[in-house]
Amino acid sequence: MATANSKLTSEPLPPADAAKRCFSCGVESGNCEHAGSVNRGTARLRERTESTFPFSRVLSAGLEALELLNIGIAVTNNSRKLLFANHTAKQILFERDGLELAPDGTLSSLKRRSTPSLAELIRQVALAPAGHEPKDSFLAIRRRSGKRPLTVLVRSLTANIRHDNCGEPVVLVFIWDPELPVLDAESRLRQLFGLTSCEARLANLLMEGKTLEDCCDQLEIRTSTARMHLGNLFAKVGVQRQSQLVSLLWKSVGMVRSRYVAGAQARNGYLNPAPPSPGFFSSVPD
Amino acid sequence: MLTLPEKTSTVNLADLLLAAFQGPALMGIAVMVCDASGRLLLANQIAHDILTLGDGLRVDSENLICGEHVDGRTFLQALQQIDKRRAPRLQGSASSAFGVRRPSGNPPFTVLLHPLEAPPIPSRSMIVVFVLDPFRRIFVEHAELYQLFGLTAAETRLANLLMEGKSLSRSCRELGWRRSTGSTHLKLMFRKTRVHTQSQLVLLLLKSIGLLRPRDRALSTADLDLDQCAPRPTSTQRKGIVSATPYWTDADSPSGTKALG
Repeated sequence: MATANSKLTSEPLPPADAAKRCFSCGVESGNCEHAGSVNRGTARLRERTESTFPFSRVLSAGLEALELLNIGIAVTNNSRKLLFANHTAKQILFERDGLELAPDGTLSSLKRRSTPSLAELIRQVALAPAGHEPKDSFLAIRRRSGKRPLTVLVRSLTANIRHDNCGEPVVLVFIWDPELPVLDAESRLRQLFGLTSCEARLANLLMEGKTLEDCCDQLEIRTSTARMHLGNLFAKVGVQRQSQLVSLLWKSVGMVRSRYVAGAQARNGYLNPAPPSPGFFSSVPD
Repeated sequence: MLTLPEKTSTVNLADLLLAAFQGPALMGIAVMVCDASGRLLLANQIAHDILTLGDGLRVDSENLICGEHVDGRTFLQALQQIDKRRAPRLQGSASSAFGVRRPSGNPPFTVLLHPLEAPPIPSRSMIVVFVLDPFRRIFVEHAELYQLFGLTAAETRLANLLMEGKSLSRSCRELGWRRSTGSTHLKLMFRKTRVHTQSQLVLLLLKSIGLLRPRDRALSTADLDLDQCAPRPTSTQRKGIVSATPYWTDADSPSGTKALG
């Protein structure tokens, strides 16, 4: 342990006070006016890299990162008009189960599926003065199919956007779908924890919320085999219990997809200034 | 790759999209964009926080991301490996996952790398880096779990600890409860959420509300466990420090080096 430690500390450590300072102005954090804003830090990065990487390219690369999240992220204005939606958000809207995109391009929940209504919530958050947002900007939306409700969170973006440029208030909408499958996590689980392919398949199924018995049926293995794999999983991941295992696995790889359908969908779906054409969702997989 | 229009009539588009890019920070997900040599191009708030702490991942004076793979490779080597495997037609297949060692002794960060579509000039390729801390503290508020599942305040406290990956007995100890009290609350939560096992409960909670941070903590380093993370250099170690100015301070400002003196 001692040797490992000395090896680790031989590389230059960060300044001891770095942790307590605001990254953009160097003032002690908490005392500076930039708390909660990364705009200046981003501006510095931008200055240093603009010559080789135009900022619009870097930003669009950053937005591709949103496409990889298993959490729906959308931006709407105060009248719920959809300005941006990532892949997961589009997938959820495409299912029209709880939330959907109305023909006029607005985000709407199915009638009487939620209280207070989504429209009301978005308007309240969008029009609230900065720092005085309604406390409860959170909504559970029941679904026609009987699946577990969608979770919707609305946060104001007005404070993050310069006011002189911002003609209309906009909000950030997060959508969680607890029944969204975790796909293709196996290869990353193998790399991360050194799992075998059987263990990775089992881990992937457990991450979807299946019981060990379900996993046995699906993988066509005996309970004793599954228990052996589970034991190996515990050892490799370094946990003692199944709940600990799934929590750790999900927090490591569950929130990020390993791939998404790139190409046409990524290109035409970012901004949707016109009312959505029937083709808007055409490239979202069923 | 997308091309973004410079402005729209009402909203500065770049500002709007930059704000959307900050979205994952609310869930404690650090997102960075770097080039193939590891140069940082864009980072969200959590990524800034992690790089500021410098516990495992940091940025050197050249703006390059540094870190050590748990198996000893450097961050750069992992990047180069993924860059080699990049195949224009098989996007996603080249993505990779690894753990990054943390000098403080905390459990490693999970780093996920995703190369973006190969551009015409190979040296200008970009890679998306996600950094996740699977052992982060969780602070989901009662109001939210009440609205979703009708959980009580006590159940919410227990749920937060279980979501962190703690066992029932450990959680009860932390809350100062008897084990029987804990299991009663757990059973009630099973009934309210219509699940049968503890792992299903934990997964459902994580998938329904994620790792959402409450508003006042939304953008701070509070849940990175500052006391544990920030390794205070001892006087002998300090002598060896090459005084690299953090990338976010002005080059002429002496604040970075002064504090070390």
